Amino acid sequence: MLHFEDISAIECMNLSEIDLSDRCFCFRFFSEPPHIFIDSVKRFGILYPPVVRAKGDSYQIVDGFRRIEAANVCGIDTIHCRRCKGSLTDADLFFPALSIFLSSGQPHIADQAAILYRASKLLANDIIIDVILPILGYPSSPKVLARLLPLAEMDKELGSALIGEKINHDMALSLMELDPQERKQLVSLFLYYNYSQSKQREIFEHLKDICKKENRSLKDVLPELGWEGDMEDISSYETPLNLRLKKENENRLFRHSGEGWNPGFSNETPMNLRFTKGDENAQKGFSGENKVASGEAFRQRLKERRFPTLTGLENEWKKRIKSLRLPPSISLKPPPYFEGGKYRLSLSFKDIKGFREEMAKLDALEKDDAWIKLFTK
Amino acid sequence: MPLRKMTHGSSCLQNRSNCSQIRYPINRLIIEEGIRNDPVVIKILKALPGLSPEYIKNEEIDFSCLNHDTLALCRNKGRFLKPCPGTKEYLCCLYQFLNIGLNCPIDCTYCILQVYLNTNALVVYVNYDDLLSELGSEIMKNPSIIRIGTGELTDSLALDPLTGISLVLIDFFSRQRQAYLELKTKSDHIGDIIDLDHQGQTIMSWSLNPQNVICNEEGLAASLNDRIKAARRCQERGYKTGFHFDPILLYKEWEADYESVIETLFRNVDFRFITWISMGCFRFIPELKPVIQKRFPKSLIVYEEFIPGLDKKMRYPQPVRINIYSKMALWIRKRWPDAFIYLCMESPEVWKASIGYAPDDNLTLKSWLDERCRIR
Repeated sequence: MLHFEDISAIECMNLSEIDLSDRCFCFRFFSEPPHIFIDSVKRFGILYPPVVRAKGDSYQIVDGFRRIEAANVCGIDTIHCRRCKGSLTDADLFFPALSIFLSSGQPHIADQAAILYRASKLLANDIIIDVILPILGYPSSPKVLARLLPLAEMDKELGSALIGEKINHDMALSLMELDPQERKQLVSLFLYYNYSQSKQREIFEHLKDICKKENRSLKDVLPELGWEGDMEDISSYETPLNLRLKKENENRLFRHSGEGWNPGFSNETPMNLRFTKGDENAQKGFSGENKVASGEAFRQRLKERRFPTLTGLENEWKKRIKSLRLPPSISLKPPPYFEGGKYRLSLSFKDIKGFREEMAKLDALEKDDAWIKLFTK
Repeated sequence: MPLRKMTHGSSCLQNRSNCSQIRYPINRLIIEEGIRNDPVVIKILKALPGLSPEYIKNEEIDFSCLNHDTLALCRNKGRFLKPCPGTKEYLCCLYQFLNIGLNCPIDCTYCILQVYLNTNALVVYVNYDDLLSELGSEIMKNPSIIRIGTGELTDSLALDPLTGISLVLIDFFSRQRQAYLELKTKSDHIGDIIDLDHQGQTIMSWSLNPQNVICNEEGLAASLNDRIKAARRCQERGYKTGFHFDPILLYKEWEADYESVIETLFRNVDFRFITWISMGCFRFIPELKPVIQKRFPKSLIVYEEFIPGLDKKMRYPQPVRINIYSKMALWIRKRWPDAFIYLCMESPEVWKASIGYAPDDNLTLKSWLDERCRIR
C-alpha cells in the first residue's frame, strides 16, 4: 500500500526521462490533452504536479498524463513532479493511482470503461467485479462488467458521441457490433440529424434487419437511402463536448489574443460528408435549411424499405383521405397497421350548435362515393 | 444448410420402425424420485441404456436450469386437458389440448416453445393413468363432439418410440364416439401405431413445409417425402389424415416451393381420406425474435415485413397473408376441388378475402370441424 510519506516532495525532472508510452495508469478514454489544456500549460506551466515513479531506466506516469502530454506538446524540457518511493508492483500501485484519479471527480462512462480495461491488464476478474465496480458506483456483477468493458474499445467517433451524450450506452454497445466504417457512417448519421435515442434505436434495428434480409452491408444500404456521410473528424460536429470546447476556445482566443475564431470547429460542410445524388431533402438539411424534415425524410425512406406493404397502405390511405377533402374539424384514422379492427373518427366542436354542424357534415359525407370507397379494399 | 447433427457421445432415440434416420440428442436423464418403479419409466430407461438416470425429488428439480439435451420424467400434477388459448380477435376452432409433456426435440427455429415454457428440457409426463382418468371424465361431461390434440406443447409423435403414449391414446379414443384425437407431427414415427385398431377416432396430421424450409428451419424433423410417405401408409391403414400448412413462411421463392409441396402431397395421398387442410402464416410474440436471432443466426425468417396483429403477435401485413392464402387455396383446389380448408387464428375478413367463406363465429367453425371428424 502506498502512503503519503512514500511520495517525495516536488522534484524537477527532465521530460525525456518520463516514459510517455507507458499507459498503465492512464484512466481516461481520451488521454490526449484538449487544446485549452495545452494552451494553459503553454501560458502558466503545470500548476499541479503529476506523480511518477522510477521504473527501469525511466519514470512511469502514475497521475497527470494529460499535463505531461501537454508539456511535451508545448516543447517544455523540464517539469515538476512528485515521485513515488519504494518498489511497488503495477498492481500495488493501481488502487492509489485510481484513488488520485477519482479525487478529481466522477469519471464519465467512457473513462470508467478505460479504468476497467486497465484493471483487466493487472488484476484478477473477481477483484475487478468485487472491488473496482463498487468503487465506480456499480453493483458487483459480471454482467455489469460485460456491459462496460467493451466501451474501452470504442473508436474516437463513438467515444466522443457517447461522452457528448449524443448516443446512449446501449446504442454504443450495439454500434460496437458493426465494422468500423459502418459504425462511423451510422454515428455520423445520428449526430448530423440529432436523432433522439428512440429514433436511433429504430433506425439501427431497421437497418440491421434490412442488411440481414438482403444479405448486404450497411455500407451498401445507407447510400441507397440517401446517406453517404462518414466522419474522419468528430470535431466537425456540434456535440455538447465540442460546443463547450468551442465556446471555451472562442472566449480564450478573443480574450487573450484579440484574434478572430480559428475555425477548428467550423460550421462549414465537413469535406467528407456526402449525400446521394437526387436527395434534395438531405442536401437541404445539409445546408441547414431543413434539417429536421430531411432527417424525417430519411426515416421515411428507411420505413418504406423495411415495411413496403405497410407504407404502401399508408400512402394509399393518405391519397384517399386527401381526395375526400375532409373539413379540418373531422379526422379519420385507419385501424392500426390496417390489421382489421376499427376505424377511428374524431370531431371537434365548441358547443351544441357546432356539434350539429359537424353531424350535418358527416351526413353529407356518408353519401359521398369517395367516403364509401375509403372502406372498400 | 445441412441438418444439425447429434452431439457427439449422446444417447439417442431411434425410430424402431426404421423408417427414419432422425436422432435426437439426449445427454442427461432426470427422473422424479417417486416414480422410479413406474412401468413407463422402466420402459424409457430400457430404451436409453447409455444414460445414468439422476433421481431427484420433484420439488427439488429446477426445470429452469435444464438444457435442451435433458430428458425429465415426472408426473403432471396439474390438468392435462386445456382449451386452445386462442384470442378473441381472431377465429379459433375451439380445440382442446392434451398436454403429454413439454418441449419438442425437433427444435424448429420458429418454435414458440422457446419463449413460452420455463424450461428447455424435454419433459415427459408418465402418469398415464391420471391422464386417462381426467380425459374420460371430461369427455363424459361434454355433450358435443370434442377434438383433442397432443401437439401444442410438444410434437405428438416425436418421442413416441420412447414413451409409447400415442398407443395408449389411440386405444382409448377407439372406444369413444364423441371424442376425436388428432396427432400432429413433423416426424414419421408411425411404426408402433400403424397397425392399431383406431376405429376412425384418430386423425393423423402432418405439418408441411417445402424441403428447403425443413432443412433450414425445422431442425431434426423428418423430410417432406418421409412425412408424406408416413401419411400415405396411415391412409392405407384406414386412418383419417390432416395436413397443416402452418407456419407458412414467406421468402423469395415461396410460391414455387409451396405449390410444389401441394403437388407432391396430392400425387402421393388420396384426398378422399383427408379430413382437413389448415393454413396459418408465421406469427410470433415479439420476445421470440431475439431468441431466434441468438439461437439460429442463419435463419432469416424474422426479417420479413411484420406488423403487430390485434393479438400483439407479429404477423405479415394483411394483404400479404390474403395473397398467400388465396394462392395456396387455389393450388389445393386445383387438385381437390371440394377441399375442406380452414385458417388458423385469422379474422373473418381474411377468410373471406382468401378462401371465399368465413364462419360466423368460433362455434360455427368448431361445428364445421366436428362435422368433418364424423365423415368416415
